[in-house]
Amino acid sequence: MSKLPRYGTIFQAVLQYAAPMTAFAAPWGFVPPSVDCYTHIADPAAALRQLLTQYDAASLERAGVMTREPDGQCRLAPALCDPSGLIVPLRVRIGSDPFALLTQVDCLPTRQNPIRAGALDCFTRSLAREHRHIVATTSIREYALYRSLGLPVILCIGLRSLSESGLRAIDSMFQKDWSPEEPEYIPMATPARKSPTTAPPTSPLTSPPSPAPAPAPPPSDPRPILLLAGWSLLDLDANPDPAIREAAAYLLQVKRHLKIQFAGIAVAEPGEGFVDNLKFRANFGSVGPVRETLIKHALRPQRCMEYLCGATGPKINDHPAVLANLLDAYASGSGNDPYSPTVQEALKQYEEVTRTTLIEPLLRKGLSDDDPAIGAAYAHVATITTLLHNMAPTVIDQQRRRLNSARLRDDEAPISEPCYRQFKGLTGQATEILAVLARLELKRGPRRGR
Amino acid sequence: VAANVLEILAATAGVVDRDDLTAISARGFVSAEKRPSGLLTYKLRWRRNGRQCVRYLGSDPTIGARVKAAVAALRQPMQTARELNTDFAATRRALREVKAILSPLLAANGLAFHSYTVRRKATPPVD
Repeated sequence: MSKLPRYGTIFQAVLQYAAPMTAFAAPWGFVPPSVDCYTHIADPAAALRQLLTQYDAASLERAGVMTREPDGQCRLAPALCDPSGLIVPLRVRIGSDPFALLTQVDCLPTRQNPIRAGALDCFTRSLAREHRHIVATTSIREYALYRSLGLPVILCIGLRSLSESGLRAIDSMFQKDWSPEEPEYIPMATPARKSPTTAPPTSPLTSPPSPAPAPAPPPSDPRPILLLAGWSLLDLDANPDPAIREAAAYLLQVKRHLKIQFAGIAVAEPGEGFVDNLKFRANFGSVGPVRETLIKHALRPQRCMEYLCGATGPKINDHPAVLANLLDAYASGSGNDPYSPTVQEALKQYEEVTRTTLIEPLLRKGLSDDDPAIGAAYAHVATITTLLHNMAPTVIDQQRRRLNSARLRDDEAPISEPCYRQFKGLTGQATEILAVLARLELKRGPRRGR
Repeated sequence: VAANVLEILAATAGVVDRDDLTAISARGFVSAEKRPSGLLTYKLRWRRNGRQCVRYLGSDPTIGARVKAAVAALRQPMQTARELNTDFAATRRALREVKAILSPLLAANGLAFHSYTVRRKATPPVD
């Protein structure tokens, strides 16, 4: 930590050439930007000339503020000059020199990961202690908006550049085993609600609610939960930013292949009607009501990461894939708890795919057959298929545990091998019945359904 | 059963006996009882060989919740077994029913079920 503000004076000097952010775009024009939000550097050449008079080129380069072209020419880091971007300094203590500069594409110095650096920022840290949740967004403007509203936020970019140990470090930063029903919610005292005449927590003339200047959190501090924003605050859109979906998909890949659980990362998906509610509240042009509803509904974990990918990319319709996913969830650390959100989400997906790809076709076939006996047989086969597929993950998982465990304890005996044998036997009988149905249809010849 | 479950039960309720653990996994539970003073106290209750066993857990809701979670984890295998047995029975019943529906259709085609395998019906020799 002591090495963090190494480039502090350089970063502080860089900020002198960036103008403070004046306003957010509509409909957030009424939110006063945090004093720590800066726009891009308008005249990079002049800024670099000035910086080179104060610091040597090597230091500026190490800090990531300056880059060198292949022809040897120096220029200011493009992230600092991007007109669509912002610059947000991260500080260990209020008033100290920044230890990092957050931009849309990067975090300076470039060795810093934005997620880890964001978690060290004193403002985020103190708000995270209070709310126990941190929102993760991929847009610097949305980041600035959350920050200006006095809510804990992290810029979730640069995941792909992290090494395995970096990803494990991120995993260990956040609380394990969050629960969707978690009652942990500490309402913030909002002075703006007491009297309509008093300034809201982030009035235009003041900085956002200043967290108490505190040193590093004590080790006993509960770790926060990282909430990937399953919606867009900046655009007031119920659909999440594609970049956050990509981040979730990447984290899920890491989870699957490197077995890093990311148990402390969830998705905030405040639900139907929330965005409309927020739009309505935003019409009042006051920070208080907006912040209040964000704390109440958006700072709570509602979904697993799988939700973001299920709702986006290619929807999994592959039955073996969802079964493998469920078995992975069972086998993971949360396997001991069948009610853990990861298992529940995987189970939900498995049941959904079983229903749509296996059960419903059987029922449709039965209903469309003009022979009532065959129709009834298909209905029964659908019931049998449902029961067998509901049992399959549990039975397979039990068998896996049995095989993994060298010593079988007495209390595991009732669901051990005999159970697997019964399941196999019943599956075989169900297969025979399906073969009989196919054979009867073949004998009967092609018929038209009703 | 996870080691931490056994540790919790040993540390908070002093249950280390194997028979007790088996009995708890069958029918153990944590009760919350209100004292005349209004204070809520927690007790771990189970039956061993028909006799009631009780361990006082104190009034700390955190300890009550931890033991409750540990008991739930301990009971999980038994509960899963019960659920599976119910599902097995339902599956067998449905298989019997579908077999009964299909038997006449097979018979009309000169076939019959042998258990769940289909075989051709033996035809009596023609004299």
